[in-house]
Amino acid sequence: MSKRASLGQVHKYSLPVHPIEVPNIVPHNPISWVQFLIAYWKGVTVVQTTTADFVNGQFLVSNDEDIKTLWKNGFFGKGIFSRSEATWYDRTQKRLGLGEFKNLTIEEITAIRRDERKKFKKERAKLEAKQAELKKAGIVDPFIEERLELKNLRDKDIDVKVERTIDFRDDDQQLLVDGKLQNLETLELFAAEAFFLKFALNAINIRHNDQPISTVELFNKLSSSKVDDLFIMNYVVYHHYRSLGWCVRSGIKFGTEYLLYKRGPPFHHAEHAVIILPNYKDEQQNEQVAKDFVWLSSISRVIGGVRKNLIIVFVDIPTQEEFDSCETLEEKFKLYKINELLYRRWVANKNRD
Amino acid sequence: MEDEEALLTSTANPDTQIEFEDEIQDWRNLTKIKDTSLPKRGEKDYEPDGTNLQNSVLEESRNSMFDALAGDRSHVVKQHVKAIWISSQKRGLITKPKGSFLQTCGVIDSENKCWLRPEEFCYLAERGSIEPWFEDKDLAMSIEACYAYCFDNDDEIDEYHVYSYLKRHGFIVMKNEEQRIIPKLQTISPMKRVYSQLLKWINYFTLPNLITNLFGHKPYPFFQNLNFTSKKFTSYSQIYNSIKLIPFRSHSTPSTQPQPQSSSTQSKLIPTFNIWKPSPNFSKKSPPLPNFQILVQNVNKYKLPTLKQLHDLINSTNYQNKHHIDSDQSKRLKNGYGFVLIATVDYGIINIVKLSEADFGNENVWYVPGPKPQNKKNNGKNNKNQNNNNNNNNKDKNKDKKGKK
Repeated sequence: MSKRASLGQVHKYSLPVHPIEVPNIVPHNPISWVQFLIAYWKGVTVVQTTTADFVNGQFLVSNDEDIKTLWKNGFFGKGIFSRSEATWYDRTQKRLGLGEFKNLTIEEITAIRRDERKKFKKERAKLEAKQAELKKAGIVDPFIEERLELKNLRDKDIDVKVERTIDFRDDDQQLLVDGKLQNLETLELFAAEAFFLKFALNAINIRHNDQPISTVELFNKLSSSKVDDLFIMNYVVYHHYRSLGWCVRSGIKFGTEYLLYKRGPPFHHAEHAVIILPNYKDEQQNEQVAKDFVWLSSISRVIGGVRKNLIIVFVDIPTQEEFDSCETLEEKFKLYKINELLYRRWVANKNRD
Repeated sequence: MEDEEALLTSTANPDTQIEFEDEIQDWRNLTKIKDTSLPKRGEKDYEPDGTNLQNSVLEESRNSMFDALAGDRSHVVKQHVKAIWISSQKRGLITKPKGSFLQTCGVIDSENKCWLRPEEFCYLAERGSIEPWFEDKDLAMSIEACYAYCFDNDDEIDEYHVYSYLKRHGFIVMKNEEQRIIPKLQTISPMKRVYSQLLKWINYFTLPNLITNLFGHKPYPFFQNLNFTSKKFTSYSQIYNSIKLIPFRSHSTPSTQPQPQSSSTQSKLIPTFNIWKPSPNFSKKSPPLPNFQILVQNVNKYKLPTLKQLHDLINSTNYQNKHHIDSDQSKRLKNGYGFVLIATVDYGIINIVKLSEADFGNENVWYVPGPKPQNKKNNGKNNKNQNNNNNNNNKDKNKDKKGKK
């Protein structure tokens, strides 16, 4: 529980832009008005600017503080040695017995959980074997209590207090400089994330060949000038959901473009998965690129299996002329339009009531 | 996400929401069917466990299925219903209509003759509810003949598969014919509009907003050269609202972008069948609005319809509670608004999907820290209370307060 509270504190801000903190106004208390005005006057909207290098099509953030900032303020990026949050440093510190003993990282929690799961499966196999024995003898399942125990074993909370074990290997010495662990991990952003931070929030400096690169230059590097460019479609969808408050992360593990999290991965499972399709003005073109039902069915079964909601986003594609005639990126993006459809298997037996 | 444990599902498992769509029948109950209780689901065995018990259960089930199939299918002569296939009309004709199926099948004309649609004729013949006869020969039709005469093409066979599938699951199904009702357009009442305008103004004059509105900069898109630091944002709603940029299709103003009607090769889609949940009071003469409408598509012949086709299809539907809107945000996001069912048929195998219009663009889900959950009044201003910073571990309890507007 205490861990959760601190999580809320760590991820107080959902974007690297922070609003001014002003005190509440109490209508019958003029002093609170004054306090509000002062706070408002003095306050500045904080933008936590970070820096990323755009190298070989990858966006890499190497400054330790920047990595933390991007993760804490909206869960941007993925640690290249980690599952999502960059935890390599903490994990290695712990393994080498350096520094203070910290909370478990998500990777470690998963490892423990898998262990527990293995234990559970072993016990279950044992019980099943016993049941089969008895079945042979003609007795039907007397193991009510054992089943309950098994269920408890499955549902039990994992123990977060784990003893510190140090595992120092010979070549670990190379990780240390003056006895201190060097952080080798960088954070990688996907293109839409990096572009969002740059274009929408102006909270990141992107360097290309060690030179700062402007938003327009970046856009030109990421997209072709074609109106139905994949990056543009993916970006407008990313921007759409981010601007509604969703935490948008890659959906590649589930065969979709994006996953939508409320607040962020540590707080909720992703409830929605997003696939993106173009919707041209020309119906014939749409018929040519139409997906078949088998394709959709396979994605839907995967998403249904992990109890998520599948959103098909059709992006209205403007004409090339409209696109080219717009001066600014903002105008260009405004030509696209989001259409959402939900796709779910419908089961006759479950809808009859 | 975890593999489901066969063992534990047999005990009451509270967190099981997995859809057991395919019931496992315990066929042994067929032999006991006389006692009118419904067949019970058996437990699924995954592999032979080498016990006699398992073998005997299997054997028993098998035998009872054979028994059921071998039983004489007969009806009382009094209840014998003869139906004649009239090829010129493409209809089946019952001259002396009787039987409970009449509650949901057929149309009775002024001469008290019952006319059956092809799918009804074929289905009732297959079920043994009617005896199908040729019109010109004095000869009963075989089931093969029914199929051959009732359906002109593969699409109709597919539709029949879906029809009989739904009928066998207990639904009332009728062809969605010309009697299509034009859906009512959802309009916001003028009163409501005035009210929401009023709310907007009141909101404008609440002090924090007033100050922002007068002294600060109104949130507006600031992309490119504009900079956040030059503006005074006192809440995340202001920040998020200021980065809203991409237009979206809203359920309340569902007009799609004007699309030039190019020569489309595909025709306009309309639902094939109307579906009602089983109801003893069903009146086929004046049926209520259906519960669902379904379009039948062969997966080997058709691809996913285009967005325009899907929108037109959903717009053309009319069913009970079409305009019902969930009050709970997460339900709205999950269930969407208008929907249509599509039965995708692959050589007789049917997979039904529900396609619904969603509208995420009208739902804000950003996290609003600060005020305690019980303080529901604090809606427009989510200023962070300074002494509240340390205890906003009330987490997400009030997270979607914003979005409910």
